[in-house]
Amino acid sequence: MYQYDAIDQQIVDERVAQFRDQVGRRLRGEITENEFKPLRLQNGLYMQMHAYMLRVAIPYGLLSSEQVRKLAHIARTYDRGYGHFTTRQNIQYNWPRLVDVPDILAELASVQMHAIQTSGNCVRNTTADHLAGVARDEIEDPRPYCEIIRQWSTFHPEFAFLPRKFKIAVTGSRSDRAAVRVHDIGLRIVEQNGERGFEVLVGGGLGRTPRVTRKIREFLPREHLLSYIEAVLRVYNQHGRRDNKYKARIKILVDALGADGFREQVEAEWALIKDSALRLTDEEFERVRGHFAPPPYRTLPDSDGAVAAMSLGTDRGFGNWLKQNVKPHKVPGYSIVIVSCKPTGGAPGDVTADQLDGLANLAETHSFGKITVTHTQNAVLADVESSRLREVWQRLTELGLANPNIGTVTDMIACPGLDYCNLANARSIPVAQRISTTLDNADYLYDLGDLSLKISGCINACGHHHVGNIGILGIDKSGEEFYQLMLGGSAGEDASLGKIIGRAFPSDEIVEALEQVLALYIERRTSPEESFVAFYRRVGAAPFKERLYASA
Amino acid sequence: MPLPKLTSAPRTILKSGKLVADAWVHLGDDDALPATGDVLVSRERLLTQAEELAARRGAGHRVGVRLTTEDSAQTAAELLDRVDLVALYVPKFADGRFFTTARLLRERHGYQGELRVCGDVVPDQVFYMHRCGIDAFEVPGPRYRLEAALKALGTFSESYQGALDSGPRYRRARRSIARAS
Amino acid sequence: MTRLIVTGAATVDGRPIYMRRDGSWVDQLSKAAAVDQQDECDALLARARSDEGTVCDPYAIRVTVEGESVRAVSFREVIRAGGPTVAATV
Ligand code: SF4
Repeated sequence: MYQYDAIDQQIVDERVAQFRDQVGRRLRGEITENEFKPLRLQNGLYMQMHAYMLRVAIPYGLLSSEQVRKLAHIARTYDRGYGHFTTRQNIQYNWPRLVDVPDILAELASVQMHAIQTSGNCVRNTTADHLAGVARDEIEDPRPYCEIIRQWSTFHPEFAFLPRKFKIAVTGSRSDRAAVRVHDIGLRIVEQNGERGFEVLVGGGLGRTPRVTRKIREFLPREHLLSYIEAVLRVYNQHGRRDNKYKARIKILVDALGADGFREQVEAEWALIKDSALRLTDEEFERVRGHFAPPPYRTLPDSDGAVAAMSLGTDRGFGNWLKQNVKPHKVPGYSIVIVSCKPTGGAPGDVTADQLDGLANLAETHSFGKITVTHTQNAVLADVESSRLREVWQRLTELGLANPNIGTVTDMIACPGLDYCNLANARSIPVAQRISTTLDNADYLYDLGDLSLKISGCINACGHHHVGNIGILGIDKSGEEFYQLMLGGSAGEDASLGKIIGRAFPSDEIVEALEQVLALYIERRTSPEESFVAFYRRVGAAPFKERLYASA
Repeated sequence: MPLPKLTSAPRTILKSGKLVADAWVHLGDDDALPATGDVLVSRERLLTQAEELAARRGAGHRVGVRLTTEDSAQTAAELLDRVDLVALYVPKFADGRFFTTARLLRERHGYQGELRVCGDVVPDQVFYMHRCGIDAFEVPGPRYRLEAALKALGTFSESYQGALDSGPRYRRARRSIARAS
Repeated sequence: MTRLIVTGAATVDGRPIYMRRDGSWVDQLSKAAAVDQQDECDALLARARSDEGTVCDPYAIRVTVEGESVRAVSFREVIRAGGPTVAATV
């Protein structure tokens, strides 16, 4: 993984000093809360309902064991013993004190971490496929490119005050596990005539006006990565709307100009800068790529057959876990383990300090000391020798991180909702907890198959409800919590936005409504091979409406 | 309409890395033109009063234009031979268009004169502004804000991306790595 | 009948705090000044706004008062006063 050199370290150290000074000035009354707000936000420090919230950047989700231990230490020392993995591969702490935040940032800087640009109207953490480097369908590891983007975007002097926040995601695989089509810029690594480059997608996003990206470039040679992004940002910075924060994302500008109109502007700007110093050098690619060299794998026989055989063994708990939470690795003899942060009845994405420490140790002994956070609020041990899977399973079981539910409906995404979030209309976590408890039956879950459920506590859609096969959106009806059900969304390469099925359900009916939706699917699908989303696309909304609302 | 947070002369500004006395007068569109001194006017006034202002320059007084965040670098570039100074007026600090305008004026249109920012200037933005080519800063409010702005110029001693002060890091000579790993 | 209470987030740690009549702040809703009149509330609010060292973004909320018990009218404020409704974590 990327290792800071003296310059990287100096930049984060100076950031800590800067924020310490800013906090001091705020506490001395030299700057008002209004002036302080954008400064703290650019360090990921929000004000939530019960406390400040600090969002720490995890570039493209990748962490070393040492960093994970530091996150555990921070949770214990400055917070209430836990953290929360977010849908952008970051971690949030819910209870830091303002006066402690400079110290927390200093602790982070000591392990090459920071909270830079995790909020505010700037370029946010660049996310990537969580199976980067190990997926079988990968063309190239996207993380070196993410790191190049991270460096370019860090304190970019021209783009620190954009019309709105800006999110970039990169995938190097054919299947899209990074949800690139719902980002402001989505980049797909592609190959053309033996040359590496990117397909450039822009203007995706959720929130009030959900949009799937539009393609503005079929092939961008990789040396132009930064000049092209800079051109996109420059057009957006000048022409994005600033009069209405709900119309300020780049997707609205792309809507207004049309994909072609937007492309024309970007290409005109790009033509003026593509051969400037922004053009990346081979030397730089090599330097950064060197940091992501594969770990020293052992030469082992292929283990696909062995894993399949183990999963049919008599130990059902282990077998289920192998089937659901273990994925094939590109290197023979190794497996990818997805660590479920979705225990039955738990808050999706919450991890305790002890769990973090346990994960750090496990990564060290069994996965070359690395952990990746996924945008689905889980974690990945990417390089586990297949022959040691049982040990890993036992250890994860002890830690409460082995729920065999990856990809199933209880592997749901949920935002913090009204329990924490100032903007929320309704709670998300208690709904998630009730669903996970109600549906806690392995046979039933596996029969339902791959099915994504995503819950947001308001229209801002941090829980990505539009792109859940099933989405739940909390709304406020004269002071009471109601939930809308959306069906048919997808975040992958077949990205689509779900549609509201009908009137919202009160809190005590939403779980049953979900059960009805699932029951209908099971009764009427052509075979277990027909996925929920395929079924929905075939039959449409009508049968669901009938089932849910007929008696009313 | 009065422009919020515009400071009045004489004032102290941050210029070329120092706090200095400054006497440029911001004129509103209806304010009478004083007999002498350096004046800053809006783009509209610069164009409608073109002859008078040109004559004033001929007589040894300086004239500057005060652009808004609505004005693009292209618009500004067309005015450069009429002025001695370009000021970018920022109505709200979050309106970040002026960063692009400043940078393009320098990099694309070759403007070499004083590039000043005024209005809702927050000290903590000064580092970014400076990298975009702004070299003079009117900071409204108490003196400690001006001092904070001066300090903010030196917040970071390194940067990743290219701007007015340096090229991108990957094109600079690599500094030796201080920390042993 | 509903009354008004001035609240905000404590500058030091962001916890919800509520204003008393003398301008000091308490953590419990029930110990805050619950006033009847809008102008009383406005006066408290003005005072709160000048106390940025203690409180961020103060605003007024509606509460119902029955004897000793004070309850916020909006569900959001009920949760804010009582803490998250979910256990800290697993
Ligand atoms: S979706 Fe709404 S409620 Fe949930 S975290 Fe985002 S802003 Fe808060």
